[in-house]
Amino acid sequence: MPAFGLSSSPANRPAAGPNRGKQMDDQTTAGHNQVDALPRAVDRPMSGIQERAAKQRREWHHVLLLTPAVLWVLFAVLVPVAMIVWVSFRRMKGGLLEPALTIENWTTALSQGITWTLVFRTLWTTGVVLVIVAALGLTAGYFLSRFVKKPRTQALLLMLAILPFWTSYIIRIVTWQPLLGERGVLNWTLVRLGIINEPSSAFLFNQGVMMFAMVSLYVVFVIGPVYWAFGTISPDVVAAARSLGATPWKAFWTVELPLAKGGLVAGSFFAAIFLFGDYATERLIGGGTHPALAGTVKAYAGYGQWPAASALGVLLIVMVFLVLGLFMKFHNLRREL
Amino acid sequence: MALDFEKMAQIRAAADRACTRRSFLTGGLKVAAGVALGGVAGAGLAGCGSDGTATTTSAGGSGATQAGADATLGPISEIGLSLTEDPRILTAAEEALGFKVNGRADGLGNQLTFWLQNYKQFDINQVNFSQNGALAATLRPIAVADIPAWNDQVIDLFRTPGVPGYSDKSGWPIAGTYTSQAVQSEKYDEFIGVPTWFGFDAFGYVVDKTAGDVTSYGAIFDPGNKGKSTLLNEPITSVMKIATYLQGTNQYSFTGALNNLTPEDLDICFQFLGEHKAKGQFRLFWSDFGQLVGLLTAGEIVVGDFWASACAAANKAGANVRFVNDPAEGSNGWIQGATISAETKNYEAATKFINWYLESGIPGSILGVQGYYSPRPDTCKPILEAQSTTVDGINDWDYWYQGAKPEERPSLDERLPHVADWQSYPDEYERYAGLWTQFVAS
Repeated sequence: MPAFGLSSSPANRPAAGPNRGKQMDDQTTAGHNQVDALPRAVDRPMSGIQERAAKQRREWHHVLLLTPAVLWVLFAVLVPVAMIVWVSFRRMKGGLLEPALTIENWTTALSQGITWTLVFRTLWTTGVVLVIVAALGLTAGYFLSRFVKKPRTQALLLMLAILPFWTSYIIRIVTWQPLLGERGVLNWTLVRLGIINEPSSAFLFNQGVMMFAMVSLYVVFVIGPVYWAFGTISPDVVAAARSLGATPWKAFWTVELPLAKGGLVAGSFFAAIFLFGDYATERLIGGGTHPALAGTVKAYAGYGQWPAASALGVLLIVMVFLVLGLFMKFHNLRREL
Repeated sequence: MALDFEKMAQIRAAADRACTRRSFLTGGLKVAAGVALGGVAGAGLAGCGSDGTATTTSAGGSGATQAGADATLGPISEIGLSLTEDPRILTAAEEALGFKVNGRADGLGNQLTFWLQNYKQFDINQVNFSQNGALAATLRPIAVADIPAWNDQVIDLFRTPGVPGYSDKSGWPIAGTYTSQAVQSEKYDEFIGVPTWFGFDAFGYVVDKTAGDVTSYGAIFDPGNKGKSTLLNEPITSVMKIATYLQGTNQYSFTGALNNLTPEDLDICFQFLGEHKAKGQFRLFWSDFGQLVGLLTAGEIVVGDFWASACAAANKAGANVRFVNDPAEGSNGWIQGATISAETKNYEAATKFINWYLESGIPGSILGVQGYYSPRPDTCKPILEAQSTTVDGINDWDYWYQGAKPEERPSLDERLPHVADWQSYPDEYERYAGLWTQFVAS
């Protein structure tokens, strides 16, 4: 049997017309081969060897297409995660990891009440922000797709929502400080209007404001997918529902929303991933007095306590997978791929 | 002590062997003689000292003992705070030494992590000595003889136990500067790291906005400042300040040194901290210099364990912050200095650079006007005396070192006896870090 590399040599190909030579130059695109294979199969049944050769050729292309992504995931995701898991079973001394394995980091982490406080706080913050982000994203995306008629205006409005993402993540967070601080724009305005007598410190460095900032940071992750999802629903479907007697409200809930659910779930999942890992907003707007898991992982790492940081990091990763499972219950995200 | 001295000794032995071999190959018999005679032949030829082929150029600075420029040395790479990696300092060093010095500035928190991950690619870590214990296995000791600038002119604080500023309980700053063998033998002939600058940590407050007694750390915990106070988000220095406060006000008497608390002592501190956090005393926990200056300038906080240099920077930006030099309970001394990587291939260049740091007086004068002291004040003195950048009519030496305006800035001699203890790496560090992280998260 010829090896993968040899299977594409002309010797393995059926005799062919003028297109054959051209196709040989297009080895890297699997699509060409498949399209090409169809008429051939109809014209002339392939021998067993020829079929196997064609199949191998397709597999070889699959491998080629997949390789960069697989390598990337391997070195940028799987290897680091494996190292985090590995470090969570080690101890440190004098700045270096000791060779012996131990479960001490885990027994400490799991037996401490504070760990579960952190887990709860992480879920609470993510949950609350996610509900708001989903509600705002859904209404904004729906508005964009149904009530803005001109595609140009749609694109322009969507662009405006995405525009802040042209600046760095940290800058987008920090910008809330001069708006909400003691000498910030909000306090200045409220004092000027006589609504409050003295500048208030209630608008910055607390959990409520932190969640508010998080909503502003992550809502666009939902707006985009929801907008596209509604855009793919044919107007005929809605018209059909209406002509069968559904009120606009009922048509939305029973026809449009279920069809657009994928966009909502996919967008919310992206937002959730970011929320789980966002320790910067927590520190810069929340004041860092009530950190969640990610902020605590960062703190441990900064103090050179890598095993403790790793154990909590693994816990965070597990939580992300559990939440992914939960999202999959609502909607099979694989269908969106 | 938690320092891994066994490991350090192994590293030292290995490094000495490598050093001798390399010197022998490059410098020939002359160097071998120098190494062999190191103990008696004087600082210049000791250990990995200068080889016979060095091309000495007059590199400005302070004359005969200036380290010679040597084209065969370096380049070296170091990490430190933005204060130590000041381009003015690095440029002056390159001019004097004739090799490139790559400096990488980082925040206090990131510095530890960065060094642990990258120490093999760097030669020097200019670090707060309270972190040395966490880094022990990545550092190699430095022979005092390799730093000729470490001579009789170094202030007594770093050479003699028992002088003002010395802590009987912890043995610092001597115990934090020299390896345990060097301390035990009383020869003081080997550094963990070379002190290059030092200072005293206390607290600061915004004038006219802070309630309570502003001469005591108690102001941070005063009910009148509820929701407006802050602490540095870092276990070693913050916990030590709490202990200094509790001991200084006779609320509790600690069994161990203030910089090396026992588990029971720690529980007392964290009980105190936890109660105040639950009451909403702290507005936030700050993490770096720039952030603190921003918070002070924006008027977000009124009292906390501010750094002197951050107070000065905030005042330049229009704030009215006062740094309390010597609180009633005492200050917390700290040492910043140069440590050398266990994996360095440039030990000789590194020691020349460190020597220059002390001997030229240039870093000392740049850091001096930011409120910090050099272990060799004599080398900074001529530079500081010749300038008056802080207060009109008073030269910088008189202001920063001599206490020309004592109500703002007492003299170094006056401040030393007020040191409660020195920031160091505690034996129970893991417990410190764990409890602190839990306290912040509670």
